[in-house]
Amino acid sequence: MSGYLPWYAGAAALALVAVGSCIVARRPLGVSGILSRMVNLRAELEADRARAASARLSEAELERALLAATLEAFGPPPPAGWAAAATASAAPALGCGSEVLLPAAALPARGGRACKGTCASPAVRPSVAAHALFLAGIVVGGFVAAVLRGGFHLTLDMGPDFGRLLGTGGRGLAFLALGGFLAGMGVTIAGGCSTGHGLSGCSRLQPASMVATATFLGAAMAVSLLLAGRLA
Amino acid sequence: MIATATRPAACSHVATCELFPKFQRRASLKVWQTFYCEGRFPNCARYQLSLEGRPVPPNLLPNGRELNLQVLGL
Repeated sequence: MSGYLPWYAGAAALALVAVGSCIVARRPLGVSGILSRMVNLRAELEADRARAASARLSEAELERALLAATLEAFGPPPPAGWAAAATASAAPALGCGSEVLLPAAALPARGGRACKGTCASPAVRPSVAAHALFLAGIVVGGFVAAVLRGGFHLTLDMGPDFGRLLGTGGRGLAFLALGGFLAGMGVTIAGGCSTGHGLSGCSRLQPASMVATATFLGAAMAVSLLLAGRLA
Repeated sequence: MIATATRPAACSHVATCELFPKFQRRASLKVWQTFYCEGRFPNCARYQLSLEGRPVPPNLLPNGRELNLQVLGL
């Protein structure tokens, strides 16, 4: 087998992965988020253990603990109930706990966006092991695809054009490291990578993801044109 | 003219928050939702950790305290 598969095969595969991720994990896919879990591995494993401990509790036990925490934080509810107090026009005295009291103006209008589309599908946090398996799948999948195409070979550069533009050997590696550092900084600042924003965010019509994706693509096109000019 | 800061009306992380569905389900827990998820979500400890890309413990409450399971005798 040689050459690339048609573009629509790749598009269909990406769509399958994005939709499959939503169906299985009930949360959008984002590769940089999964990678960052590996960076915070120790804390992630502790969170997984706490999650497992919570999962062993019955719903009733969990609610009892949450109710106790609510009383501790907000104090006993006012006679009319929390909902009435929260939406009252005047600033109410909300409880006598340690919580800072909110003026009514700081409270949102009822029927906010939070509930839309999320009530019926509680989020599921995949374990670190599941995400590690996903990352391993990316590497193995890339390897298998390269072997099937007959083009697998280890390399430390990004091809002849990269070498001509940025140099080879230590200089080329330094540029790759710098690029990786900038990419890591970028996805952290942007709250996601091209997969999270481009694939998952845009498909959910998230405005922030659309802006982020337009920026990714715009920057990539500008750099491509710049490099094409230098290579010509 | 009074300058008003523009901020989303509700937390954008509710879809992935493990506690949010629990706050929604029970009226007596909705105070968390009203105060944090739909109000001062920038002050939510879970939101802040999530924003930093750090793991969010499932038992971490929006006010930064951990859910005390000792009240259950566990």
